[in-house]
Amino acid sequence: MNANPMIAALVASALAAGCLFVDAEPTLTILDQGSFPQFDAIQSSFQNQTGARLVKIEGGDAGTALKTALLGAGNPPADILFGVDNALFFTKGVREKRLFVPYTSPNIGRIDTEVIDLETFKVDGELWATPCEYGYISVNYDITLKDRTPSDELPTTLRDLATKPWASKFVVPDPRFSSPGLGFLLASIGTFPDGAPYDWKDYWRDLLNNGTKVAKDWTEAYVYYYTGGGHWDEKAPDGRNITVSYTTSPAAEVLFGTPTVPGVSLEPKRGVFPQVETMGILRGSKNVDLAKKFIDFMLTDEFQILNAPYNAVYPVVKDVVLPSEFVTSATDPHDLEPATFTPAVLRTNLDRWVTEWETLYQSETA
Amino acid sequence: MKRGAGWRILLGAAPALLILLLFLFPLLEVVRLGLVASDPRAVLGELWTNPYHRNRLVFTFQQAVLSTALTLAAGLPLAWVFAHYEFPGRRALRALFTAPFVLPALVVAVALHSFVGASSVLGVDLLGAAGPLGAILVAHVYYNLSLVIRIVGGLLERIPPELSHAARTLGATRAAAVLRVQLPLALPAVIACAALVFLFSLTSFGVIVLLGGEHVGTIETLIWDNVKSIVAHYDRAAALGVLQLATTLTALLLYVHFQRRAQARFRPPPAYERPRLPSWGWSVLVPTALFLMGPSFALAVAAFTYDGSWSIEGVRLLTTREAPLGSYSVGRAILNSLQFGILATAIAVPLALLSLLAFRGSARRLRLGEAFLLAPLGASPVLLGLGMLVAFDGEPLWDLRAHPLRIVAVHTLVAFPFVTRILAPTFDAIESNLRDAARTLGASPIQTFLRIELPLLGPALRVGAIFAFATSLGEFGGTLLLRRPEWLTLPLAIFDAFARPGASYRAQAEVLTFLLLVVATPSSSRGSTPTSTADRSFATSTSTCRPARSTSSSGPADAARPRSSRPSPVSIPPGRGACSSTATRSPGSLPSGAASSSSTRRTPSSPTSTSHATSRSRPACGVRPTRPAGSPTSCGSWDSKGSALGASTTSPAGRSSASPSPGPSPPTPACSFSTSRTRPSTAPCGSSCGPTSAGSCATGARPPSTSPTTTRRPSRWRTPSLS
Repeated sequence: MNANPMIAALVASALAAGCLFVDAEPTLTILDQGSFPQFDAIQSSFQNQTGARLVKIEGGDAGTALKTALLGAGNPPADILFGVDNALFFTKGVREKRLFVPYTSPNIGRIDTEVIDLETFKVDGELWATPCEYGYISVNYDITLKDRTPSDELPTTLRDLATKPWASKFVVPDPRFSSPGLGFLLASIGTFPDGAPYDWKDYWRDLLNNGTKVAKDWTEAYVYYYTGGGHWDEKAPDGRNITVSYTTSPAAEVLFGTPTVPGVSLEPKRGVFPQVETMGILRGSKNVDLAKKFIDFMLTDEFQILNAPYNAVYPVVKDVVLPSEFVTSATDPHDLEPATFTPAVLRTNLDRWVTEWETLYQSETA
Repeated sequence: MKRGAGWRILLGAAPALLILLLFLFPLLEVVRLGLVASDPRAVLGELWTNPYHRNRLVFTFQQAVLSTALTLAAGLPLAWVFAHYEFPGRRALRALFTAPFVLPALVVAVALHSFVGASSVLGVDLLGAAGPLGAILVAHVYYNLSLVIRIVGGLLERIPPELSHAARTLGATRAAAVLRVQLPLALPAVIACAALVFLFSLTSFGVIVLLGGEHVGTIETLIWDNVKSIVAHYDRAAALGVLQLATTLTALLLYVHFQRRAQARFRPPPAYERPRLPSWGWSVLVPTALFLMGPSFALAVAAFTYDGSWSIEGVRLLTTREAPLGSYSVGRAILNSLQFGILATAIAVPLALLSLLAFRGSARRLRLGEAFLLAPLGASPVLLGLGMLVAFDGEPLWDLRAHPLRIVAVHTLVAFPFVTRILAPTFDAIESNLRDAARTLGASPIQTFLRIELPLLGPALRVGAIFAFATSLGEFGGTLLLRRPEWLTLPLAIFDAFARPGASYRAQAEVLTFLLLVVATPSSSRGSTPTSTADRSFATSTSTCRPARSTSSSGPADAARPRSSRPSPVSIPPGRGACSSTATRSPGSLPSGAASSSSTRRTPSSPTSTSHATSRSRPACGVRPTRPAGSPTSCGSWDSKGSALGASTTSPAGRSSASPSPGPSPPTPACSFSTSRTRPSTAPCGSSCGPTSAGSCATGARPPSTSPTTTRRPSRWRTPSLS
């Protein structure tokens, strides 16, 4: 019996595996977009409070994670989705498939409503997703870029990025999969609106013709291609000096990475997109009560200080003391006049914009 | 057989329902979405005006045609060499050359990358130099080459050499004899093979995604493109799916048609001694062998090197939590893959068995059956995935999203046509007389099935199961469309790692791929080679070598008699090699299982003129019936029964091997050949052993000493019980 021991072993291992996956402990699963740098601390704190285990599933970038959640709407692969922002929230399907369970946390009052508009995340008056952190999506560049350009100039406007001197220096995450990418698309639409003589499609055509690289997601753009990120590998080909990230990313570089690299926000007027990232309880979750407890926990100082700064963005609750680098190395939010879109505008246009961008991108790179 | 009708319906009901639910319903949903629910003209028009889609539509056919042409160009000389010449290491090489077929596409892509790609261990980036199209072509040639050797070589072997000799005598040059005699005769096989390679190139997904990069794509990748993002276009994807289905079904029909004609052509010729391989032959064989072996070795090296030196950094990266892919939990991926593999196998094999039972019978029904059994091959895994996605999309009744069934169903359907092809020859070899005898002796149909047929099918079932398992482990396209985070599989993890730039991801991808290579080909060392069975199942010539084991010593009648004194109807003498086409021990191979020793003793009655003797010393060959089961025999009934029972008929391969084999008892491996399911013809037992099974195979299959020129007597075995 030659093959049979093998088959028996496989069956046994599968059964064993099946047993392993059966958990007696209550477990809360979060579909994550790679935004839990301090997951262990958060996990143990949550476990101490509730006795429940916390598990995260890597869902890729926010767009990809949302896609996963949408495919499983009503029968979700996780209890909580982390990463839907004030743009993705208006993706087709979120409302239609009733993606989230409405929940208003008793801690909701802690949110700094001067910066964050809770109305954005309300459907029929009920809060579907709870803000967790926020930041300003902007163009970052590598400070050494200065040394690399003959004229000693640096780009100052979004338009500059589509011109010769900055050819093949820009990498942008794909708006279909990445929320910073989508934010940048919206920022470009804010700067070159629909119907303008030179609209965002003209701009993107020029950008792409100028050798702009579209990376799969933020991680690929920032970590792999961007020369200003602390992770950049000198040996990697096709390094890019300019990318899309947050106004606070330079602070993060100083805090956690190589302490050299400030960045900049190009076109602080309109060329920046204010992003509010949320957590929402997925409809169909079998652990709704536990999920609600987690949302409450998420709005505590303890969680906020453990998460937002490590993601290089701002906490949503008032009066959290931030590392000083957030002041010294990041553009002061008060100096920004970000592109803003009303929920109604996003609801009617977001899908069309992304689809049109996709068509344009496909045509230009066909 | 009338009484069997109700039975058959009952038997057929289960597979029919499953196929209806898991195959037809999802595909119909795609067709509905692509043709009915939306305006297909508008959608297709839009696809054509969008240069992104248009380029990819054109590229689909471009690469498929070029892949087919190149595969034939590279494969025909090989098929020629294997069919016509004798040389040391012939069997081993043949096994080696057919091995890549079962490799998962991702393994091929990643292995080629480590061989001559951007991360080449040799330091030469040929794939980069060749561009995406070149890289894709190389990969397609790499794993379709075996089809040419099998299908075309199978026919070439059967073309009587006398025809060429006659042409030469009449003044034709050697070249003319080849071009005007042999090739035209082999044409149906060439076309059938081309259709199949074309089909596999059309439905290729993993290779295109991994080697094509972002600037090329095919219909397959377009389907994925259109559903993967937050702005999904299911109507477009469905329209593309319909287009894909139409093309693949056409290719499939071409294949079926010409394969039938190829199989109808020629019975095995009288055995003749193959000439020695001329020196040019080696200049074909050696580079091909290097090309086929290189990637696997390169992958093994790549998996354990990092930054140019030996290291287990890749392994370490996979096991640390900080590692890029660490949080994906590789262990989970492996367990999932195993689970899916086991489930898919557990469904596919009984499904195939029931389908075959249901379709057993008249030739007409067999044809219908053949179409039915092959149909899933016409739907690519990605299309099946799309079907599952739109058919079981979360309506309350059909919410299978959190259930592994959707993925398992795709794996099952992908494996199903291969499994039926693996089982069919053995299945057909079981003569109805055997069942009738059992029934006469008082066994119920169920008893007959369980105690007679099932044991006889055992080895074929095992091969089928292993093949289904390997297919499931390697399946990528359909799984990708249906992926949920918790259903991560090895191929998905490889894809995730490979899709990311950077050395650390590449190292992880290589380790994972190596792992998949090792897990998915256990197969070749166990039981028999899915490798060969896979493509064998599409070719006329077949055979696999199994390590010595279990050939029944009892005659068929013994086997048929449910005797209580026997623990099992089929007893298993130890130590006998079994080299069987679908690893079959058909009843017919029973007497011949006792083979070589008995071959000299038991002088067979003279056979009908068409069949020729087996070598007395070759592994005894159980031959599948030379007529469709159940059809009237044209030969003397005893003989035909004998042959139908698998008593050895000729095989051209008989000429070349002999079999003193180790082991205490009658030392011959039993080798049964499969032939066309519907046509009379025998296939050569060009055995193929998986690379890893070569050892076990060699024991029985290819002993060194016997001269290939043994006398051949026209003979067919009569089975003891019948004589």
